[in-house]
Amino acid sequence: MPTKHEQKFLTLVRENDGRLRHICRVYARDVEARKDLYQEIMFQLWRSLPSFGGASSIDTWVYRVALNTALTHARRRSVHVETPLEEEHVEAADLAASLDASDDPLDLSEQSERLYVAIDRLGDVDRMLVTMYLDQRSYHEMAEVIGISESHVGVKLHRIKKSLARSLAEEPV
Amino acid sequence: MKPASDTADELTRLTDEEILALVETRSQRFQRQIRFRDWRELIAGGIAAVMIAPAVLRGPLLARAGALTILAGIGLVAFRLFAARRLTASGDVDPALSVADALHVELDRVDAQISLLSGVAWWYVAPLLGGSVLLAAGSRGLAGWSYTLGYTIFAALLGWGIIALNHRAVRRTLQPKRKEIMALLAQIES
Repeated sequence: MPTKHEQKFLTLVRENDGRLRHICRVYARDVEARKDLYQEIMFQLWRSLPSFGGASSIDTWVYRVALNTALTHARRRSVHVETPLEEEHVEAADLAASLDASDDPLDLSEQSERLYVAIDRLGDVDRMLVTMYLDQRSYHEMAEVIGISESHVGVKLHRIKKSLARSLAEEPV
Repeated sequence: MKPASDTADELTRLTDEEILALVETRSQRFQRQIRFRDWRELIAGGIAAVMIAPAVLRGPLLARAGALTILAGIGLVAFRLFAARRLTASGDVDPALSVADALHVELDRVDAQISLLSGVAWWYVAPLLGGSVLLAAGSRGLAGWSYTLGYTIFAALLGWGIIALNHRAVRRTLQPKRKEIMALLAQIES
Protein backbone atom coordinates (compact mmCIF):
# COMPACT_ATOMS: atom_id res chain seq x y z
CA MET A 1 0.00 0.00 0.00
CA PRO A 2 1.63 3.30 -1.08
CA THR A 3 2.21 5.95 1.58
CA LYS A 4 0.59 9.38 1.29
CA HIS A 5 3.77 10.83 -0.23
CA GLU A 6 4.04 7.95 -2.70
CA GLN A 7 0.39 8.31 -3.69
CA LYS A 8 0.81 12.05 -4.21
CA PHE A 9 3.89 11.44 -6.34
CA LEU A 10 2.22 8.76 -8.46
CA THR A 11 -0.78 11.02 -9.10
CA LEU A 12 1.59 13.82 -10.10
CA VAL A 13 3.46 11.58 -12.54
CA ARG A 14 0.26 10.22 -14.10
CA GLU A 15 -1.35 13.66 -14.43
CA ASN A 16 1.74 15.20 -16.00
CA ASP A 17 2.72 12.27 -18.19
CA GLY A 18 2.05 14.04 -21.51
CA ARG A 19 3.87 17.17 -20.37
CA LEU A 20 6.95 15.24 -19.20
CA ARG A 21 7.01 13.11 -22.34
CA HIS A 22 6.87 16.26 -24.45
CA ILE A 23 9.78 17.88 -22.58
CA CYS A 24 11.84 14.70 -22.96
CA ARG A 25 11.24 14.71 -26.68
CA VAL A 26 12.17 18.37 -27.05
CA TYR A 27 15.32 18.24 -24.93
CA ALA A 28 16.76 14.77 -25.58
CA ARG A 29 17.78 13.59 -29.02
CA ASP A 30 17.68 9.83 -28.83
CA VAL A 31 15.62 7.17 -27.13
CA GLU A 32 18.30 6.35 -24.58
CA ALA A 33 18.73 10.01 -23.63
CA ARG A 34 14.94 10.41 -23.39
CA LYS A 35 14.65 7.39 -21.14
CA ASP A 36 17.42 8.72 -18.92
CA LEU A 37 15.92 12.21 -18.82
CA TYR A 38 12.46 10.86 -18.02
CA GLN A 39 13.87 8.87 -15.10
CA GLU A 40 15.90 11.85 -13.92
CA ILE A 41 12.84 14.13 -13.99
CA MET A 42 10.84 11.55 -12.03
CA PHE A 43 13.64 11.32 -9.48
CA GLN A 44 13.87 15.11 -9.14
CA LEU A 45 10.09 15.36 -8.73
CA TRP A 46 10.22 12.64 -6.08
CA ARG A 47 13.09 14.35 -4.27
CA SER A 48 11.59 17.84 -4.42
CA LEU A 49 7.94 17.03 -3.77
CA PRO A 50 8.20 17.19 0.06
CA SER A 51 9.55 20.75 -0.18
CA PHE A 52 6.74 21.94 -2.46
CA GLY A 53 5.05 24.55 -0.30
CA GLY A 54 2.34 25.68 -2.69
CA ALA A 55 3.90 29.11 -3.26
CA SER A 56 3.30 28.56 -6.96
CA SER A 57 0.79 26.32 -8.72
CA ILE A 58 1.66 22.64 -8.99
CA ASP A 59 1.87 23.00 -12.81
CA THR A 60 4.42 25.80 -12.51
CA TRP A 61 6.38 23.74 -10.04
CA VAL A 62 6.38 20.66 -12.30
CA TYR A 63 7.54 22.79 -15.21
CA ARG A 64 10.35 24.32 -13.15
CA VAL A 65 11.62 20.94 -11.98
CA ALA A 66 11.28 19.30 -15.40
CA LEU A 67 12.85 22.13 -17.41
CA ASN A 68 15.72 22.70 -14.97
CA THR A 69 16.41 18.98 -15.01
CA ALA A 70 16.23 18.90 -18.81
CA LEU A 71 18.71 21.77 -19.12
CA THR A 72 21.16 20.19 -16.69
CA HIS A 73 20.73 16.80 -18.31
CA ALA A 74 21.35 18.21 -21.77
CA ARG A 75 24.57 19.83 -20.59
CA ARG A 76 25.74 16.67 -18.82
CA ARG A 77 25.10 14.36 -21.71
CA SER A 78 25.91 16.95 -24.35
CA VAL A 79 22.95 15.57 -26.26
CA HIS A 80 22.01 18.89 -27.70
CA VAL A 81 24.83 19.08 -30.20
CA GLU A 82 24.51 20.10 -33.80
CA THR A 83 22.82 17.30 -35.70
CA PRO A 84 22.51 16.78 -39.43
CA LEU A 85 19.35 18.28 -40.90
CA GLU A 86 18.07 14.88 -41.89
CA GLU A 87 18.26 13.59 -38.34
CA GLU A 88 16.77 16.82 -37.03
CA HIS A 89 13.87 16.37 -39.43
CA VAL A 90 13.19 12.82 -38.25
CA GLU A 91 13.29 13.88 -34.60
CA ALA A 92 10.81 16.66 -35.19
CA ALA A 93 8.59 14.39 -37.23
CA ASP A 94 8.69 11.91 -34.39
CA LEU A 95 7.69 14.55 -31.93
CA ALA A 96 4.84 15.78 -34.09
CA ALA A 97 3.58 12.23 -34.65
CA SER A 98 3.66 11.57 -30.96
CA LEU A 99 1.78 14.76 -30.21
CA ASP A 100 -0.81 13.98 -32.86
CA ALA A 101 -1.33 10.55 -31.36
CA SER A 102 -1.82 11.80 -27.83
CA ASP A 103 -4.97 13.04 -26.14
CA ASP A 104 -3.32 15.74 -24.10
CA PRO A 105 -3.78 19.51 -24.61
CA LEU A 106 -0.58 19.55 -26.63
CA ASP A 107 -2.41 18.04 -29.58
CA LEU A 108 -1.58 19.67 -32.90
CA SER A 109 -2.50 19.16 -36.51
CA GLU A 110 -0.53 17.02 -38.94
CA GLN A 111 1.22 20.14 -40.19
CA SER A 112 2.97 20.41 -36.85
CA GLU A 113 5.90 18.46 -38.26
CA ARG A 114 7.38 21.50 -39.96
CA LEU A 115 6.61 23.63 -36.96
CA TYR A 116 8.64 21.30 -34.81
CA VAL A 117 11.56 21.33 -37.20
CA ALA A 118 11.55 25.08 -36.69
CA ILE A 119 11.16 24.77 -32.92
CA ASP A 120 14.07 22.40 -32.81
CA ARG A 121 16.28 25.15 -34.18
CA LEU A 122 15.40 27.58 -31.42
CA GLY A 123 17.61 28.16 -28.38
CA ASP A 124 17.01 26.22 -25.16
CA VAL A 125 15.16 29.04 -23.44
CA ASP A 126 12.98 29.86 -26.44
CA ARG A 127 12.04 26.18 -26.69
CA MET A 128 10.94 26.30 -23.05
CA LEU A 129 8.60 29.17 -23.83
CA VAL A 130 7.20 27.44 -26.92
CA THR A 131 6.71 24.23 -24.96
CA MET A 132 4.65 26.06 -22.35
CA TYR A 133 2.85 28.16 -24.95
CA LEU A 134 1.71 25.00 -26.75
CA ASP A 135 0.54 23.67 -23.39
CA GLN A 136 -1.62 26.80 -23.11
CA ARG A 137 0.19 28.12 -20.06
CA SER A 138 -0.45 31.77 -19.15
CA TYR A 139 2.21 34.49 -19.45
CA HIS A 140 2.19 34.65 -15.67
CA GLU A 141 3.06 30.95 -15.35
CA MET A 142 5.76 31.17 -18.03
CA ALA A 143 7.26 34.18 -16.25
CA GLU A 144 7.29 32.26 -12.95
CA VAL A 145 8.94 29.21 -14.48
CA ILE A 146 11.67 31.10 -16.32
CA GLY A 147 12.17 33.86 -13.77
CA ILE A 148 11.47 36.89 -15.96
CA SER A 149 8.67 39.46 -16.13
CA GLU A 150 5.39 38.82 -17.93
CA SER A 151 6.09 41.66 -20.34
CA HIS A 152 9.45 40.09 -21.13
CA VAL A 153 7.62 36.81 -21.86
CA GLY A 154 5.36 38.72 -24.23
CA VAL A 155 8.29 40.32 -26.04
CA LYS A 156 10.12 37.00 -26.33
CA LEU A 157 7.06 35.11 -27.57
CA HIS A 158 6.42 37.81 -30.16
CA ARG A 159 10.01 37.44 -31.38
CA ILE A 160 9.79 33.62 -31.33
CA LYS A 161 6.54 33.63 -33.34
CA LYS A 162 8.13 35.90 -35.94
CA SER A 163 11.17 33.63 -36.13
CA LEU A 164 8.97 30.54 -36.48
CA ALA A 165 6.88 32.23 -39.15
CA ARG A 166 10.05 33.03 -41.10
CA SER A 167 11.25 29.43 -40.77
CA LEU A 168 7.89 28.08 -41.90
CA ALA A 169 7.82 30.41 -44.88
CA GLU A 170 11.09 28.90 -46.09
CA GLU A 171 11.12 25.87 -48.34
CA PRO A 172 10.95 22.61 -46.37
CA VAL A 173 14.29 20.86 -45.96
CA MET B 1 10.07 7.51 -39.12
CA LYS B 2 10.32 5.83 -35.77
CA PRO B 3 7.11 4.70 -34.05
CA ALA B 4 5.52 7.25 -31.80
CA SER B 5 5.92 4.99 -28.82
CA ASP B 6 9.37 5.29 -27.31
CA THR B 7 11.11 4.31 -24.14
CA ALA B 8 9.67 7.25 -22.23
CA ASP B 9 6.22 6.01 -23.18
CA GLU B 10 7.16 2.52 -22.06
CA LEU B 11 8.18 3.97 -18.73
CA THR B 12 4.79 5.51 -18.22
CA ARG B 13 3.29 2.07 -18.67
CA LEU B 14 5.17 0.87 -15.61
CA THR B 15 3.05 -0.10 -12.66
CA ASP B 16 2.94 2.12 -9.60
CA GLU B 17 5.21 -0.31 -7.76
CA GLU B 18 7.77 -0.24 -10.56
CA ILE B 19 7.81 3.57 -10.68
CA LEU B 20 8.29 3.75 -6.91
CA ALA B 21 11.05 1.14 -7.04
CA LEU B 22 12.78 3.15 -9.76
CA VAL B 23 12.82 6.43 -7.84
CA GLU B 24 13.76 4.67 -4.61
CA THR B 25 16.75 3.05 -6.31
CA ARG B 26 17.90 6.39 -7.74
CA SER B 27 17.38 8.03 -4.40
CA GLN B 28 19.47 5.42 -2.57
CA ARG B 29 22.23 5.65 -5.17
CA PHE B 30 22.29 9.43 -4.82
CA GLN B 31 22.53 9.25 -1.00
CA ARG B 32 25.27 6.62 -1.23
CA GLN B 33 27.32 8.82 -3.57
CA ILE B 34 27.09 11.83 -1.24
CA ARG B 35 27.95 9.76 1.86
CA PHE B 36 30.83 7.93 0.17
CA ARG B 37 32.32 11.18 -1.14
CA ASP B 38 32.39 12.76 2.33
CA TRP B 39 33.67 9.68 4.16
CA ARG B 40 36.38 8.90 1.60
CA GLU B 41 38.01 12.32 2.03
CA LEU B 42 37.58 12.35 5.78
CA ILE B 43 39.20 8.90 6.16
CA ALA B 44 42.09 9.76 3.79
CA GLY B 45 42.79 13.00 5.70
CA GLY B 46 42.51 11.22 9.06
CA ILE B 47 44.93 8.44 8.10
CA ALA B 48 47.47 10.93 6.75
CA ALA B 49 47.21 13.06 9.92
CA VAL B 50 47.67 10.02 12.22
CA MET B 51 50.74 8.90 10.26
CA ILE B 52 52.36 12.34 10.29
CA ALA B 53 51.45 13.46 13.84
CA PRO B 54 54.23 11.50 15.65
CA ALA B 55 56.87 13.19 13.51
CA VAL B 56 55.86 16.57 14.97
CA LEU B 57 56.89 15.43 18.43
CA ARG B 58 60.27 13.88 17.77
CA GLY B 59 63.30 14.10 15.49
CA PRO B 60 65.28 17.05 14.10
CA LEU B 61 63.74 20.49 14.14
CA LEU B 62 63.52 20.76 10.35
CA ALA B 63 61.69 17.42 10.11
CA ARG B 64 59.28 18.48 12.85
CA ALA B 65 58.64 21.77 11.04
CA GLY B 66 57.93 19.78 7.88
CA ALA B 67 55.50 17.46 9.68
CA LEU B 68 53.77 20.45 11.25
CA THR B 69 53.46 22.09 7.82
CA ILE B 70 51.89 18.91 6.42
CA LEU B 71 49.43 18.72 9.33
CA ALA B 72 48.49 22.36 8.83
CA GLY B 73 48.17 21.60 5.12
CA ILE B 74 45.77 18.72 5.79
CA GLY B 75 43.70 21.06 7.94
CA LEU B 76 43.72 23.70 5.21
CA VAL B 77 42.74 21.16 2.52
CA ALA B 78 39.90 19.87 4.72
CA PHE B 79 38.71 23.42 5.36
CA ARG B 80 38.79 24.38 1.68
CA LEU B 81 37.02 21.20 0.57
CA PHE B 82 34.31 21.44 3.21
CA ALA B 83 33.79 25.14 2.50
CA ALA B 84 33.35 24.29 -1.18
CA ARG B 85 31.15 21.33 -0.25
CA ARG B 86 28.78 23.61 1.67
CA LEU B 87 27.80 25.15 -1.65
CA THR B 88 26.89 21.75 -3.06
CA ALA B 89 25.71 20.06 0.14
CA SER B 90 22.57 18.62 -1.38
CA GLY B 91 24.12 17.65 -4.70
CA ASP B 92 22.18 19.16 -7.57
CA VAL B 93 20.85 22.70 -7.66
CA ASP B 94 17.29 22.87 -6.27
CA PRO B 95 15.26 22.13 -9.40
CA ALA B 96 12.20 23.89 -8.05
CA LEU B 97 13.88 27.29 -8.47
CA SER B 98 12.98 29.39 -11.48
CA VAL B 99 15.22 28.59 -14.45
CA ALA B 100 17.05 31.93 -14.14
CA ASP B 101 17.63 31.49 -10.39
CA ALA B 102 18.80 27.89 -10.86
CA LEU B 103 21.29 29.04 -13.49
CA HIS B 104 22.61 31.79 -11.22
CA VAL B 105 23.11 29.27 -8.39
CA GLU B 106 24.89 26.92 -10.76
CA LEU B 107 27.08 29.75 -12.04
CA ASP B 108 28.11 30.55 -8.45
CA ARG B 109 29.00 26.91 -7.92
CA VAL B 110 31.07 26.73 -11.09
CA ASP B 111 32.88 29.96 -10.16
CA ALA B 112 33.64 28.51 -6.72
CA GLN B 113 35.00 25.34 -8.31
CA ILE B 114 37.12 27.33 -10.75
CA SER B 115 38.53 29.39 -7.89
CA LEU B 116 39.23 26.21 -5.89
CA LEU B 117 41.03 24.39 -8.68
CA SER B 118 42.87 27.45 -9.96
CA GLY B 119 44.38 28.04 -6.50
CA VAL B 120 45.36 24.41 -5.90
CA ALA B 121 49.06 25.43 -5.85
CA TRP B 122 48.80 27.38 -2.61
CA TRP B 123 46.20 25.45 -0.62
CA TYR B 124 47.15 21.90 -1.62
CA VAL B 125 50.49 21.53 -3.36
CA ALA B 126 52.56 24.08 -1.41
CA PRO B 127 51.75 22.97 2.15
CA LEU B 128 51.62 19.22 1.53
CA LEU B 129 54.54 18.79 -0.84
CA GLY B 130 56.54 21.69 0.67
CA GLY B 131 56.09 20.14 4.10
CA SER B 132 57.10 16.72 2.83
CA VAL B 133 60.30 18.16 1.35
CA LEU B 134 61.14 19.75 4.72
CA LEU B 135 60.38 16.45 6.44
CA ALA B 136 62.60 14.53 4.02
CA ALA B 137 65.44 17.03 4.35
CA GLY B 138 65.18 17.13 8.14
CA SER B 139 65.08 13.35 8.53
CA ARG B 140 68.15 12.70 6.39
CA GLY B 141 70.24 15.68 7.45
CA LEU B 142 73.19 16.96 5.44
CA ALA B 143 74.46 13.41 4.86
CA GLY B 144 71.43 12.56 2.79
CA TRP B 145 71.59 15.61 0.50
CA SER B 146 71.36 13.51 -2.67
CA TYR B 147 68.19 11.82 -1.39
CA THR B 148 66.74 15.21 -0.44
CA LEU B 149 67.61 16.63 -3.84
CA GLY B 150 66.02 13.64 -5.60
CA TYR B 151 62.93 13.87 -3.45
CA THR B 152 62.65 17.62 -4.03
CA ILE B 153 62.76 17.08 -7.79
CA PHE B 154 60.14 14.32 -7.48
CA ALA B 155 57.90 16.55 -5.32
CA ALA B 156 58.29 19.46 -7.74
CA LEU B 157 57.31 17.26 -10.69
CA LEU B 158 54.37 15.81 -8.75
CA GLY B 159 53.25 19.30 -7.76
CA TRP B 160 53.54 20.51 -11.32
CA GLY B 161 51.48 17.52 -12.46
CA ILE B 162 48.74 18.17 -9.89
CA ILE B 163 48.58 21.87 -10.80
CA ALA B 164 48.54 21.07 -14.53
CA LEU B 165 45.73 18.50 -14.12
CA ASN B 166 43.61 20.92 -12.12
CA HIS B 167 44.15 23.75 -14.58
CA ARG B 168 43.27 21.37 -17.39
CA ALA B 169 40.01 20.48 -15.64
CA VAL B 170 39.22 24.19 -15.35
CA ARG B 171 40.02 24.79 -19.01
CA ARG B 172 38.32 21.72 -20.44
CA THR B 173 35.34 21.22 -18.17
CA LEU B 174 34.55 24.20 -15.98
CA GLN B 175 35.18 27.09 -18.38
CA PRO B 176 33.00 25.53 -21.13
CA LYS B 177 30.31 24.83 -18.52
CA ARG B 178 30.50 28.42 -17.36
CA LYS B 179 30.26 29.62 -20.94
CA GLU B 180 27.14 27.49 -21.50
CA ILE B 181 25.46 28.85 -18.38
CA MET B 182 26.33 32.41 -19.37
CA ALA B 183 24.88 31.77 -22.83
CA LEU B 184 21.65 30.46 -21.32
CA LEU B 185 21.42 33.47 -19.00
CA ALA B 186 22.01 35.73 -21.98
CA GLN B 187 19.18 33.93 -23.80
CA ILE B 188 16.89 34.54 -20.83
CA GLU B 189 17.82 38.19 -20.50
CA SER B 190 17.80 39.05 -24.20
